[in-house]
Amino acid sequence: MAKWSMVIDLDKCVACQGCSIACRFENNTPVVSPEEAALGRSILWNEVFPLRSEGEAAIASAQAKFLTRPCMHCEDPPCIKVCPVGATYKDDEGIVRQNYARCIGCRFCTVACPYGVRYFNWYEPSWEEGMDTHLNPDRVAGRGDLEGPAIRPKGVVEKCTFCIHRHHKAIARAEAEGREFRNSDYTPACVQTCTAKARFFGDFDDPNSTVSRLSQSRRAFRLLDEAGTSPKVIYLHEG
Amino acid sequence: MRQAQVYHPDNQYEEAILDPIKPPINARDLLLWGGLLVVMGIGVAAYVRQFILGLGVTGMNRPVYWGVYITNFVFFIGLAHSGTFISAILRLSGAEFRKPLARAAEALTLFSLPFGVASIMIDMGRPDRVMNVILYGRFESPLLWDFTAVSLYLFSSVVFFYLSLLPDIALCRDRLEDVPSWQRSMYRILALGWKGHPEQFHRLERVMDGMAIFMTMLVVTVHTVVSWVFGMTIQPVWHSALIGPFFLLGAIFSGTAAVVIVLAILRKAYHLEDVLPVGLFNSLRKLLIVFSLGWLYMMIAEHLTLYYGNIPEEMEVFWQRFTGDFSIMFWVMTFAVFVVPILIFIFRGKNSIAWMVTASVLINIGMWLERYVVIIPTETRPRLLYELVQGSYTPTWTEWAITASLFAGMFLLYSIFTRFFPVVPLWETAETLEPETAFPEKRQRGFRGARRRRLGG
Amino acid sequence: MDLGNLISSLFLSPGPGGVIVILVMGGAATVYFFLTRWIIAGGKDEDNH
Repeated sequence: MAKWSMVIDLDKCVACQGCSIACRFENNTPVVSPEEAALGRSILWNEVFPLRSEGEAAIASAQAKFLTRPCMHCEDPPCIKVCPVGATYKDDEGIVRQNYARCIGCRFCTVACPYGVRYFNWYEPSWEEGMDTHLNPDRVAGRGDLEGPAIRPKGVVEKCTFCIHRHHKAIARAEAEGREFRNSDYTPACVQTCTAKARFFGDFDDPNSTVSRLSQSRRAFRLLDEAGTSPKVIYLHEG
Repeated sequence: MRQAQVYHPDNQYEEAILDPIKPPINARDLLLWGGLLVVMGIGVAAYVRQFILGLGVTGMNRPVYWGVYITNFVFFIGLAHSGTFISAILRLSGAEFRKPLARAAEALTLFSLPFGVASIMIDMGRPDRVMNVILYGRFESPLLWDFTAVSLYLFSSVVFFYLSLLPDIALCRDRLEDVPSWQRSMYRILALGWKGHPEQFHRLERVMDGMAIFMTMLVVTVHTVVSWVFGMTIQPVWHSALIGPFFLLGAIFSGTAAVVIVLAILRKAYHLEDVLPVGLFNSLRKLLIVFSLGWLYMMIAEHLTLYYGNIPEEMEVFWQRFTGDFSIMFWVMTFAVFVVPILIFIFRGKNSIAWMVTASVLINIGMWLERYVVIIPTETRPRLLYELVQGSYTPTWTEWAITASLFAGMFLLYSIFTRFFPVVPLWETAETLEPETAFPEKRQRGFRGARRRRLGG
Repeated sequence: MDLGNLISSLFLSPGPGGVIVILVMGGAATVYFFLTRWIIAGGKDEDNH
């Protein structure tokens, strides 16, 4: 059983926000008006944050720093603990998923997540004329749950799923081709699209995978390691 | 079947206490209820709009996912602690002064709890899926602890309240002859065939004593569990062991202050000056002084620990409260909850109902602000995101309208209740529980109630 | 059978939480019902003499 993990090399990242856009189209994230966005209601599973830099030296070097942030897919996720109905859960391969069909919209998980990766549908999702006919038709086949790119009803929480539907599709394709599923068959949209090839994805339990080798780098760190959440997204420091 | 004889305790204030119930519903009642219903109507309209459009009509956003509704939830649950504190905790400690005000306080519990529960429902993104909590309930979630504790608390309060009301409903059934027939049938059904037999009083007292212990445990549990919804997350400042005791103290504090307001209104509106003497307010004043000092202690314990520890993410929230976006609220809260009331209590409160009410109103405004200042600043500076996203929050008219309607609803229920049921417990304040016609065989045995002290002594 | 696992799964998996709520409320309802009946029944025997 794989343990999916992502490595983000901040040294390579050019902050083009391609991951954010690819994620939006892949996962049918609703678009909000500029007024709503100003209120802090934009939904970006893969958000790109400018980091505050302090001191004269930082200003003099005129070097902006950025952090791209998908869901950390923690090994010990605080969001799952607090969900009263089990709408969010960790699957066998360590991916933290969200079932829109069961979520009651209490927003306990959004408050509990220290990374702020969870987003709430304040209104019924909407798209501009023309865009609404070009939504991603992929769905997560299963128990009648609503997951991944499925169109969300209003009032539920959504989040990055490491493009779980792509995982299911990759398995189905391997089956159709009559071969074993290989870990390289499955890549989330953000990793595939990354302009600078700053993102890597793979099985953390496989000692030969790119992610597990990169995780041994001296530049490797995890966000809020001290929070005890054991994130499966590993960053590589700049420089 | 032979008609059993009915006995009632003899209370010298029976006339005064029953007077508010006697007159038929008049224009004044209808005006008050109508006014409150209009306010509620605006809130209902605002809620329907929110239900149709989505929670976007509120000021909530990312990262401030919880706002005024959750503040209301905590506040109403806190207000509800008044009744249980006065009727259960003071019952256990044998404080006799609680007797005339026990029911007024318990009614406050009963009529504020439903609005606490409603606040949670209003805050939900999918209220239509509330049954999922039963179908898929996970007990690991503090929300389930809340759900269990608050439901049990509401249920137990209703029973506790009803049991203590039972002898008085029976008295209404037998004494109020001029009331409309539907009202008489209501008393007849609700009285459950109470006869006022000494053995019934004896058993009632025993059950009330037993339940008082249980209710005391519940009251501590409920508000601690409410605070754990925040405390169990690892968000800065929320994640503290003090949050439970602090919430509990605040709850009893605001609850007791609310009792002062309610008593003053009842006394004035229903001419209960003799039944609710100034002495009662003086007893409550002493309690409130203790609670104010307790509040100061908690406040210092919390903020000194934060400041001395100087942990970066906690200091962000700390400065949000002291000098940041919430500083005005924070300082208004400090003055309203502590500084002004304690001065009033010490220098002006004795024998002055007007000053006591002033201080109590300030305390309740301040306690609402305190809930707000405890909940929101942390959300504007969550862990990690305090560097990346700085949240802010401005409630919208929808949230204020719904808040106003919740308070209106509480007043409405309260005022309707006081028009149909005696708001001062007749049997508990009776000079003696000895029935008008004595039971010959019971006389020599006697029972505990017979040695009751006189009211207000 | 691992008892610890069983007990923890009662708390962690979706479902049993609702049962706990129902049990607590149902238990309380039963207790309160019988207490009320017991109080009302006080002194009944003597009346029937």
